[in-house]
Amino acid sequence: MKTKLQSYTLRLILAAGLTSCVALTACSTNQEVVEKESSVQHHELARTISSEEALADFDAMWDIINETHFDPEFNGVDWDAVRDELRPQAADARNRSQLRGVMSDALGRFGQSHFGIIPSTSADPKASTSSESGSMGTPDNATSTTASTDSHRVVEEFEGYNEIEVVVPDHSETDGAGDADTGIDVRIIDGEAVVSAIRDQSPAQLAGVRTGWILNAARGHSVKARLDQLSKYVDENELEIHGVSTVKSTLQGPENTDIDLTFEKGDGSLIDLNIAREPMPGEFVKFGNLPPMSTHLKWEKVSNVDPSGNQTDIGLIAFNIWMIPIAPKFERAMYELRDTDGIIIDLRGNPGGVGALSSAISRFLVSEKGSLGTMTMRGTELKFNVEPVVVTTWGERLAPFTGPIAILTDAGSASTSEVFAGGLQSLGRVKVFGTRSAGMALPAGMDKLPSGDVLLHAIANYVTSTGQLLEHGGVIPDYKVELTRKDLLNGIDSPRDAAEKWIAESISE
Amino acid sequence: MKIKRSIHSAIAAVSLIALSGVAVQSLNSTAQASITVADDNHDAKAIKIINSMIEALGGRESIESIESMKSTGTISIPMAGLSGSVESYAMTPDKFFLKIDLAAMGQTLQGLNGTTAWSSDAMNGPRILPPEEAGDIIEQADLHLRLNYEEDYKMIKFEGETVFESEKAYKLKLTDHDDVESTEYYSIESGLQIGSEIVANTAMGVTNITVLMQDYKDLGGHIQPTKIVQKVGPTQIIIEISDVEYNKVDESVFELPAAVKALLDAKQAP
Repeated sequence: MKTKLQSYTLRLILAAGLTSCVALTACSTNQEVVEKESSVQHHELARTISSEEALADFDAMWDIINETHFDPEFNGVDWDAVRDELRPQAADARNRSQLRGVMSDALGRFGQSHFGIIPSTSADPKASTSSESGSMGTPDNATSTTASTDSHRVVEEFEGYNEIEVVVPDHSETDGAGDADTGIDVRIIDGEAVVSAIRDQSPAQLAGVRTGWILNAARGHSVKARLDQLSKYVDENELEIHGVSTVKSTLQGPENTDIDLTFEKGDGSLIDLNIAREPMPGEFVKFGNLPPMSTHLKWEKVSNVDPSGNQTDIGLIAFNIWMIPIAPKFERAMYELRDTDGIIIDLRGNPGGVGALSSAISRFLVSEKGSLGTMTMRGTELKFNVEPVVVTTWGERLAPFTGPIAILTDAGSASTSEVFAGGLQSLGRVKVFGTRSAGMALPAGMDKLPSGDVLLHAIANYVTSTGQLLEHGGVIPDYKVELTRKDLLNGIDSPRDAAEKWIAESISE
Repeated sequence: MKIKRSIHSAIAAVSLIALSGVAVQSLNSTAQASITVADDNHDAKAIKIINSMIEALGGRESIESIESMKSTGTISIPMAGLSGSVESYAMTPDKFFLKIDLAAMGQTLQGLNGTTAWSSDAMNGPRILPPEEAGDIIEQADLHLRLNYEEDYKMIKFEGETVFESEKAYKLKLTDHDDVESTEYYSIESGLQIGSEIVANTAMGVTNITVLMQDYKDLGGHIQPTKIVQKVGPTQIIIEISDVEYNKVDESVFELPAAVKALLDAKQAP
């Protein structure tokens, strides 16, 4: 039973942070993709709860899903039986950790994305900090710990429940303040965390880190061992999104801290580096009941000249999450890139966000009305309609971009990223490059439970305009291009290169 | 520019697509329904129910005395954990302006200046609303909308007594001139309208919406529902009105924003 419970628990709790909510709600960014707990949270986890408190949350969860799951048949799950089986376990839960484990077990029965519990301390860190600041309590039922003097602990494992530390931004509603990282982005390649990108002028770049290096250890703890542990609970596709999240959360921490990392270089040698953390770019956004999230978009124009002397100007746009501040930034990027020959939108590692943004962003990319797809709830449906932009928000006329558009995806592209990429693909407007997306594309709500924990729960099914179901299936690239370590070591981004080549060929035709 | 009224229901909905893909219930419900005459298509029982509602709201003269109206309050979407403030301005017969501020969502604006229905928000930018989406705003601008009921509904039928949201209610079926049907519920006890079910045209397509009208109070001398809950599927949008002012609205509030003017110019250009 423990194995089963842990399996469900880990997968779904991780999913809770990963996935996004469409139309109404949002998802967690990579830094919140996994459940992470601060010392404040550990204190809260250890607190004994009464049966009444436990059942208040359990019953609320059960009722909400009973009323809102888009499938009246609950995807084949006997929801009444789940209550009968697990309610007694919830009543016996000694603390929040155990209760969340039981509830996650219930949510896991659906086998669908966008079900999970977000601890109150993650969802509302300010409130938690103010009420319980300074607490350093240790759970009395911890079965193992990797705690260190660093504020980041990778994993606290409790009976039937795995928690990974959350980094709480100090100033969650201000630009760029609070959370910090080294500037390293990673992808899981052959079960290893491989450096896939390094932010310009970041501490990691200044320390000499190179793409293609394997992150061997963090603070002396084997990253590979952690990924191996994770792989017991998730499939290969899920390992990418959960693994990346786990590693990136480890790399994150408060500003003015540093972290000891060990890398394996291309020649197989190891190198130890102590790397400082700097504030992550962009804005921190607190969207409803979700944790605060760093939100940033970058764009650039590159010009390629082929051997015949033909020049291709390409706009590159990448953003980390679908939150509202992205909308004006994307608009500005499209305005500045309006004269390029083609556009590449990089959604690799983007876990989703506010679903309606998929339509809002798409309006810059289409020249006629269309629909990305339809979300179907109990009793009604909503379409992700797209209408071409005509005028900017600052009142300037803007003709729709008509050049070729490529979207880059990988297994870390989830939810709204899939709605967007799959929707535009179904309209025939874009070509998708890379690897299959996460297949976690159910619109969801995020209700607050009596304890303050947040229940993330799917409320709708979603299909593209051509009827493609993205949940589980994901977006299938038109051009499958794997990101390999060898290419990364040589500074090559093969999916992007393939997209650039396709754009050049498209305009030459 | 004549805008087609695509939705004729006692519940006028303001589109809040930018936020949630669903609509927000009218803030202006003082002038809902004022039927006085029965005929073959408007049966006597239904007319009596609606007239009772008019009386419960203070009577025809009271409603007719309202030329403009400003409402302020709060808005929340519990399923998303979002909350904020809402202001609406209406000047009968054809001016309306709505401003919603939600944390993390920015400002959502909608308006009607007498000729152009528009919206603007952080996600979708400025939009001129097509006729099928403009109907709700047009209805909200007309504070005396139902006083000439025959213009709005070609058929009103009493469909019996029922229970709506745990309250005994009369059920009316209304059909407008576009053959769009809606259902309205009136409290048997108070005579006030307590809800409706409509099929709304929104930027996210045609969707079913259920609206609850609750907590009627005297605000500024007129009876108003101070809590309005709009349900789209499992999602609820809750508006709670705290203050209403009558006949003090400055017409300048309905002027088009610059971006909307530019959009209008662009659309009208050859």
